[in-house]
Amino acid sequence: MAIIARQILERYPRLRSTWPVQRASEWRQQQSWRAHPRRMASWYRDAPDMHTRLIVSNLELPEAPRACEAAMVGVHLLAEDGAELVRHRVRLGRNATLVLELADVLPMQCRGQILSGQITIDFEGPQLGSSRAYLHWYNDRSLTSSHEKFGLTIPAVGGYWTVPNIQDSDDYRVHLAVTNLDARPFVSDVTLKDDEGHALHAEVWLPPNGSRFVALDALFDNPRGFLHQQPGVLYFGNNRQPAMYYYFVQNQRLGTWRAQHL
Amino acid sequence: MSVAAPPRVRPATSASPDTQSHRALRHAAPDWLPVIGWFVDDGRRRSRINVVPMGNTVDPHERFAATLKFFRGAEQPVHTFLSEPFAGDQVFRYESAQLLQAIGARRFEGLVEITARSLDKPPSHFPWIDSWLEFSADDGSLSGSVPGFVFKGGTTKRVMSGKWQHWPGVAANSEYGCEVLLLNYHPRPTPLRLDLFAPSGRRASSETLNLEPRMPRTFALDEVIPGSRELLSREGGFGSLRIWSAYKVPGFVLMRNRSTGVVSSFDHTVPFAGAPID
Repeated sequence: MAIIARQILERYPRLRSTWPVQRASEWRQQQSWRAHPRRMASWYRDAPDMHTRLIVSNLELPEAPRACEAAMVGVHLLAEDGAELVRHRVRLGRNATLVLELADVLPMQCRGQILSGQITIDFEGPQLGSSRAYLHWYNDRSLTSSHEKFGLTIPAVGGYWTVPNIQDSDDYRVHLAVTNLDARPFVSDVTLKDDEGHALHAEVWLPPNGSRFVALDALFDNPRGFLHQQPGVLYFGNNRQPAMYYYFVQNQRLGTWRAQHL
Repeated sequence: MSVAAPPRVRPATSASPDTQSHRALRHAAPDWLPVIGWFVDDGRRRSRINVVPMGNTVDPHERFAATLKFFRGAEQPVHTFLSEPFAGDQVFRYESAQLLQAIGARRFEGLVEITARSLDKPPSHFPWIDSWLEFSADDGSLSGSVPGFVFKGGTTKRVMSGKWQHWPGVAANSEYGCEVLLLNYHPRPTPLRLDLFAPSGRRASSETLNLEPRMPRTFALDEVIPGSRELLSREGGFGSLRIWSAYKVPGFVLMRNRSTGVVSSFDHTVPFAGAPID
């Protein structure tokens, strides 16, 4: 059928500008975007000490305004063990911004109970950079934000993912948010080094599509003593891995969180 | 794979024939790329550079060195620092207090260009060394850590693609305000404009603003886009920011709690990537 239609259009090219052919073309394009969306992913938490908000914009580029069209956005929330919790779809108009409180779409019994989870975002539209999603992690005292980290923009690093400044004090408590993007279990190697090069090793086991939010002192015994008030460094596996990492610095005195992607 | 501590590298006191041959090799091959960043010390806010070779290598014995150039408006740097060689599993750190001491100043705000090189290997497909800039304030009002920006081309990391960049999730409401930090690495002024979008698509724009050559500049959203708070507060207090600049400029957004004054969000914007269209 498609071959016949194509042959007819090649023979009568004026048909391309007719209403039914244009609608059919748009429908086909939308089906293609739905089948092959721009996949993004990040980490979320919905607990008394931290909530999560998703922001996706669909801004036009003035030099190419026609490249920006209304698009569907699919949001998929997973539990810590990788189990599916909810799917949510919303239409995003031209120059519109989606601001979605994840607590509002979580099942009622899960609200305030998700200590760690993976969120995937499918942008079913033209793949302008404006489709990149940001997350807000917030509480009553702070709001911190970073972009999704599905890993498409950096094909590979040459070494390890690193956190360059690790401390352990009441003003600077490091937590790791690790997400497994793969459908197989994954073990993330974590190495903590002090300023003299001494090393401690730990492993974080992640189920398929699962995630963990873990404090430094839950990974290593007495990190405060080990670091002896000098900045240390963390290494994670290397580039051959399906994991996505953020770290959060908690200031217990101020009640704030500060997020950073790797 | 071990990342145990390697023997420490002793600082080189004279150029050996081996070093000279490496230098000749480097001159004949593509060089390591610099990254740039904001650098500030005003007695309250402080900065630190962290160069992390293990972001680029898995060999703890590979040797590295870093060159830091600090700019404050002029085309030439006000100070250049050459590090001693350091081992692959070490982190090279440079504090803003060191710069103040070196230039005999009580404060500095400008740009730093960080070029870290392997002394043993030519650049690979990832031709820069992971470098992070950290910022803090004595009163806890600033805390941030951001990667240095690869500014020059030829890399696989698409951090900058041209004149447009954006930040979904910008705040302008009674609780939070935003500041936009832009780094003009060009040796010429760079005009720019900020466009603020409410979730519905309603928008407000700044006048055409200007960045001085080889300087950073911070813009408070409330001040440069009149009515920004009203625009977003009617729709929940958050929206999207689009930034146009005549030449590419790395951009960052800082979000500040209005009641505590604490900046708890400090990250870079992202470019309009996708297929090249201009």
